[in-house]
Formats: sequence, C-alpha cells, structure tokens
Amino acid sequence: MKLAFFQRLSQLCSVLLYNAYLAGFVTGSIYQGPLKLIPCPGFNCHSCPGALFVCPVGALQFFAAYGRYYLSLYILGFIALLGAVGGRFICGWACPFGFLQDMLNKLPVKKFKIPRRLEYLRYVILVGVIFIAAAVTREPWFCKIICPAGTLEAGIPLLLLNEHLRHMIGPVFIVKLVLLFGFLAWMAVAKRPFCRVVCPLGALYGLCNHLSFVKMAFNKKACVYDATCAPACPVDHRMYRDDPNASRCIRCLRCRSVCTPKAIHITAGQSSDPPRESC
Amino acid sequence: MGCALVRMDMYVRKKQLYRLFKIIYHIPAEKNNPLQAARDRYCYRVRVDNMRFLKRHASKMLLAAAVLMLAGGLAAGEHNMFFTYAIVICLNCIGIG
Repeated sequence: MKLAFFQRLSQLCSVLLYNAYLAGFVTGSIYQGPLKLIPCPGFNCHSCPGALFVCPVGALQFFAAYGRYYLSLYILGFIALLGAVGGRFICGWACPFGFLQDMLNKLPVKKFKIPRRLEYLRYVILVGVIFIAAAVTREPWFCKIICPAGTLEAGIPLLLLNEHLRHMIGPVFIVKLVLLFGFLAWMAVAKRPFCRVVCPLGALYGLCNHLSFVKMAFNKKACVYDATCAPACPVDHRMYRDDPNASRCIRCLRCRSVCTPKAIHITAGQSSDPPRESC
Repeated sequence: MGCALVRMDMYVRKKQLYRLFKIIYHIPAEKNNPLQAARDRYCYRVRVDNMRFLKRHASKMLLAAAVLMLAGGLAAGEHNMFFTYAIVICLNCIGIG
C-alpha cells in the first residue's frame, strides 16, 4: 500500500512539475523560457499552457520532418540515458498520461483485456509514423492526427483561452477530438491502452528494459504461482510466466509489493541471469 | 479415440527423438578426434563468454552511447532548433494546423 501511495505521489508530482507554468493557464500563452531546451521525460505536450519542457515525441518528429538529418541525437540520447538507468520506469512513475490512464481505469465499468499482438503496434507507430512518414511527407502526422495528449493538454485549454484560435477549428480538430474521447473510453475499460498499444516514447524506453542498469529479477523457486501479482499489474504483465524484463513492463513495482513469498526482486548493475555453471 | 492416441504416441516419440538428436549433436566427438572436440569446446566457451560480456556491460555501453549522442546533439546545436520549435504554439499539436 505504501508503494502504491508513493507511486501516485510521484506521478502527481510529475504532472505538476512538467506543467508548472501556471501563468499560462490564465493568459492563454505558453512558456518561452530556457527550460524548453530540455526534453520532458514523460509524455507531455509542450504546447500545453503550463508545460515547461519540450515533448520528446514532438521533437523527434519535428527533426525527422524538418531537421538536417532524420534522427535527433539529442532527444534519442536523452531517452537512452533515462532508459539505461531504469528502462521503462518513467512510464510507471513519472508520466502524466500514465497517471491519467491509471485514474480512468479506476472507474467502475466492465474491463476488457488487450490482445498481446496489438502491443506491437507501438513499434509500427514509432518507426512508420514518427520517423518514416514524417521524413517522407514532411508532416508531423502523430502530433497532427493521433496524439491525444496534444488535444487534451494543449488543444482544449488553448481554444478555451484564446478566442482567435477558435475561428481556426476545422475537420482535423474534430477528428482529434473523436480520437481523444475514444482513447479516454478505452482507458476506462482497459489497463493502460495508450502505453501498451500506441505510445512511441514507451516503445523507446521499453527497448532499454533488457539493457538498463536497474533490472527486474524473478526467482522461480520462491514463487508459489498463486498469481497475486497479475491483477496488481497495470499492464497485464505476468511476472511468473513472461520475461521479467519484457518491454511491456513499466517497472511500477506493484507486483513486487503484493508478492508475499518475495519472488520478485530488483537487481542493480548485474545480469538477471542465473550464475555461470562450472564446466 | 484410437487415432488420437496413436497421434499422441507419435508426437511423444518425435519429441523423444528430437531430444536424443539434440543430445547427440551436443556431444563432441571426443573419441574420434580429441583436437576437434577441444576446438569446439573452446569456440563454444568463447561464444558464451562474449554473450555474457555483452550482457554484463550492456547498461554501461548504452549509457556511454547515450552520453555520446547527447554530446553530439548538443554540439550540432539541435537544442536550439527545438527551442525555436517549442516556444511557439504548435498548431499541429492542438489540431488546427
């Protein structure tokens, strides 16, 4: 219970920290200070009136569409740096959109499972939409059509605060609004659908899960296979059956807190493999 | 029912055969050619050692690559490009661009 409380606190703090420019919510403008040089670790639109940092997904797309070369070393280096430390821990502990999904999933409605195969879609979006489509068409398609964070955090507040922007509303905004409400409804009935199926930032962090300094380890001998960790997991990951460092795992450590025989561990700076056998 | 049993039996036998082949293939021909066997064992050890080395130092290598990429990006002035992009309201992001 303590861990769950700290996780929620961390998520809430991340929401407040990433969107700490409160004057923007009054004036309808966005922050233009030097902190916009730094990428945001979580998924947070930089056009939100309160946003202090630049959105890494938007920046990656911007560079793929308009940059001198197609891959931004700065943003990829920043993501790899965080990924090398803890893999996908940002998704579990410091992502505002993850927090929103966790909160919406608490609504008392019927829940559905997401098919595992659908989870590969995030890699298709990462490579196909963020890099290839943006580079070929010179348009940021993810921000333009798909991104629900942009509509929720930037579109709706800015249109409410700026009258001159309201006259520019077109069919694209309606499509984005429909997609946003579709995602919100999906978040209520399934566990973290955006993180698992769409999020390109989560896909990049997930690639670092096997290579990170902090890893998850599972002790098969200690596990009693009562599956108490399964309902606690916000991404439907089965520690006792799947790879403990799979790209799906967001390292929220909920499974570890509910595991009574303490079969799930965190290892730092060492391989999670069993020790080498002597020949 | 009988057909299913026969199929199951065949499946089990196939599995056993497969296991047997696997064992045979992993046994080096020590009696026939000890030099060859020693070389095979050595190659296998080197492969395993290399894999273990890569696994053990993967996080350090990723960290080094990340720092290099960050430094490269900063040296190329990418942060300034993003700054000019991030300080204006992104009309694409809000759905009116």
